[in-house]
Amino acid sequence: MKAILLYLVLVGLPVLGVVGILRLGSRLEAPPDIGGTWRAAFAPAAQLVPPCVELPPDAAAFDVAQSGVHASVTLNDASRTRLDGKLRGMHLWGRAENLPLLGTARTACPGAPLELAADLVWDGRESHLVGNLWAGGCAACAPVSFRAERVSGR
Amino acid sequence: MSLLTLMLQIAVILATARLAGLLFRRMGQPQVMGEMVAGFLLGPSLLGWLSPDLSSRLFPPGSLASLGPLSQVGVLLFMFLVGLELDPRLLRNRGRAAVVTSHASIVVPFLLGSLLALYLYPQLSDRSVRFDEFALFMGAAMSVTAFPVLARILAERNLLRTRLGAMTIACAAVDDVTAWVILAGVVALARVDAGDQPLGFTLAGSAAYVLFMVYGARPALRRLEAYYHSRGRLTQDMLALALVALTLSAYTTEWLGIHALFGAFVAGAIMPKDPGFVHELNEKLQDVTVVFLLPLFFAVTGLRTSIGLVSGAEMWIDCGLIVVVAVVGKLGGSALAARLTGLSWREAGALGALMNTRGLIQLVFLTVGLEIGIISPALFTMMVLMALVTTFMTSPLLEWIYPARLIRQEALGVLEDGKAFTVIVPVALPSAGPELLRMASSLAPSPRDRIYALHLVPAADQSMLDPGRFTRPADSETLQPLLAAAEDQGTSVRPLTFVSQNVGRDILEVSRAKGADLILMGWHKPVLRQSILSGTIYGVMSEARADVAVYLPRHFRPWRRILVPYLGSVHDLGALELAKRLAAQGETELAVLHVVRPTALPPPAPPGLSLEDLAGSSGLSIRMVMSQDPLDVVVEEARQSYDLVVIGVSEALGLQPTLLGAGHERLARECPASMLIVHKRVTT
Repeated sequence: MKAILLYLVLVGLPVLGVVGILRLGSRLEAPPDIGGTWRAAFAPAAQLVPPCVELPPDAAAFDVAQSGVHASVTLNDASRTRLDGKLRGMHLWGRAENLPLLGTARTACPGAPLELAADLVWDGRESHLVGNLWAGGCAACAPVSFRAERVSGR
Repeated sequence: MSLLTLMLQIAVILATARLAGLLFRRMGQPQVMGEMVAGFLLGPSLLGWLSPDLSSRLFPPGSLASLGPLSQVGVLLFMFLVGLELDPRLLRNRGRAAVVTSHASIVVPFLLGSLLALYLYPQLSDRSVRFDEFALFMGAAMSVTAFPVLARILAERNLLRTRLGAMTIACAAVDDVTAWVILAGVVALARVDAGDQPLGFTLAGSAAYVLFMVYGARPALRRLEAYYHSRGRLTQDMLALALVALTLSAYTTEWLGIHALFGAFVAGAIMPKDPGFVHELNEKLQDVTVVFLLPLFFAVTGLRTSIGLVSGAEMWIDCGLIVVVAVVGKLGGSALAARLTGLSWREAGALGALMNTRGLIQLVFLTVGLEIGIISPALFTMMVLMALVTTFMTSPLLEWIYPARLIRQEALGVLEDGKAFTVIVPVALPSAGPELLRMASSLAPSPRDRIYALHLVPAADQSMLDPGRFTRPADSETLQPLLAAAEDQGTSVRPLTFVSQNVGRDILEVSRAKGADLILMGWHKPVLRQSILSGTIYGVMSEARADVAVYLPRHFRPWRRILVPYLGSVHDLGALELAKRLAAQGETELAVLHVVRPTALPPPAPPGLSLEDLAGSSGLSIRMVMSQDPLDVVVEEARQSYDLVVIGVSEALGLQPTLLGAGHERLARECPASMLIVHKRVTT
């Protein structure tokens, strides 16, 4: 009798607990899935000041390694620049410190961090990342805007 | 990637794994712990961080394409061996306590893991993973126990045959099976979600697969066992058949969507369980798996583990939380259940500490989770750290809760009363056993006397996946000839087998615990040393609280003529005591050669232990010789037709125990008779 009672307390109750957790968790919402490889189209620099970042003129691929709200964006440049960032809702923000930036920022704002901000946008068919890359705190150069579509998931 | 690079990678991985394994073993950790850490060190977490250039040359992008499949084959073989070692009796006929404890040891950490998933899911997962899959995986990952590591620790600490050991092994076996079944379910769910397989196909196929394996394949494989008995050994054809069964089973489960590892495990589990068959199959597969393939798996895991992914206080707090939940759930849950079902607090704590070992099994588990996308790379890294921490903490925690000294004392039992003569006979070589027994039973002939045959298995010789085979005294291959001889001559012998970290120390401890009067040791010529009274024998002679005798048999005839050279030392008196015991067994002529140097006075003997006292009425003959060179005299006398020379250790005769074997031991080399070299315990 004691063994049955113990079994109910030590095994039965936790099993019920697991069932309850599974029900409770089904209401939880995880961050959107943005992991994988994205192909970005960078907008031409139309501003008066030159762009902060020099990237391939028409398109470039970048990889997003996602772990929940944490994401790192690796650009497809020569030095495989990596920006560590976070997802807040549908908004992605990333930053890479102390990088030898290309373009105007290298001379105008040495040591400025490279920053990225993008929104995940659903166009009814697929998701896109739409945002900007710029040198943080550097007014001497202009952000580079981009629109990216996912080529492959993680 | 070129073949050259692959060969270099394998060489570096194997060397690093062996070195780290050795280092960890010296730290009192299981070797596999070091090998796991070695994989971690070769990855981006250390090598890639310290020297990115070297790392990218040694492990260029795309390395996993070559190393990955090799490591997967290793894990499949490993899972097959884990299944092979699974004793179905552990899953049946368990006591109520074991049933409650084993189930609670799964369910409690599972509950806490699922609870943690409520917090981690919005932090470290994403919408491509369903919460139920994530929670079930986290729960199962928290419930995992590394059966092979645990079994090895139990064997090393001689706990396998204790109540604690039996219950722990039973719980770990249940955990193992349950965790793999849950993982198979989670993988199936994930693949159904991904649209790889329809749920109905996976469920129906899995049920049909299990039924076929249990009721079709297993009975068919019994023929393999019968064939094994008819041939008396495991042939290459039989090995090939077992491997075909493994690969087909793995293929089927992968095709069904429940992962190849599950199939490998089941194939091992349904193999015939004849101990000889299991042992031989294990022996043939284990070395290449454990020494060659598993380190590759650890390296691949290490390459996928990047500590850099865990960045910022928030993520490190999450990592700490995972470790705490894992320990509280597994250690706490198992210990609480064990305590409530009747184990003492000490035993329950030890059981919890052991069940908390996750080791390699956890790495396999996590790799599956990462591959099917249930856990993210950062969460994978955190869980790998948790596996390393929980495995690392097991040995010191166990030593703290249940010290090895206490275990040994309990296992050996209390000292027995009475004035019986107790002889401990350490046996290293099977062939030495019968002759040592002849000597021991002649020295301790009374039914009240006790003879313990002791076989100590050096920890380094322990099998990783078959640790129990060394630890059943009656099954010990080394003791078998001695025990068979004892049975033939009707002598009662108590066999003892232990895994030993330090053979000399453990001989001393056993002799103390058993209240031994004499430790009777054999000697075989080691590779690096020539002398008899050095190494372990020196250590035992120096520290034993009992007399120690080393027996060198030269022939197997009865001891009709025994010579005792006597130079006046207490060890010579000890030799005379033993010789008198031997002479008392039959019509034996006992000759004492008393060598006196003309200029030297013999040292005074302890009260009651003089030559005259011992000679008494036993009828032994004493011959006194004056000589400046006792060694020549004794060697000359020993060449006469004696069957046995019983002699005390003596610097004058070149028979003194030394650490490095400095004595010339000319007497031992030139004496044609068997010899018994005696070191009398000197009481202060």
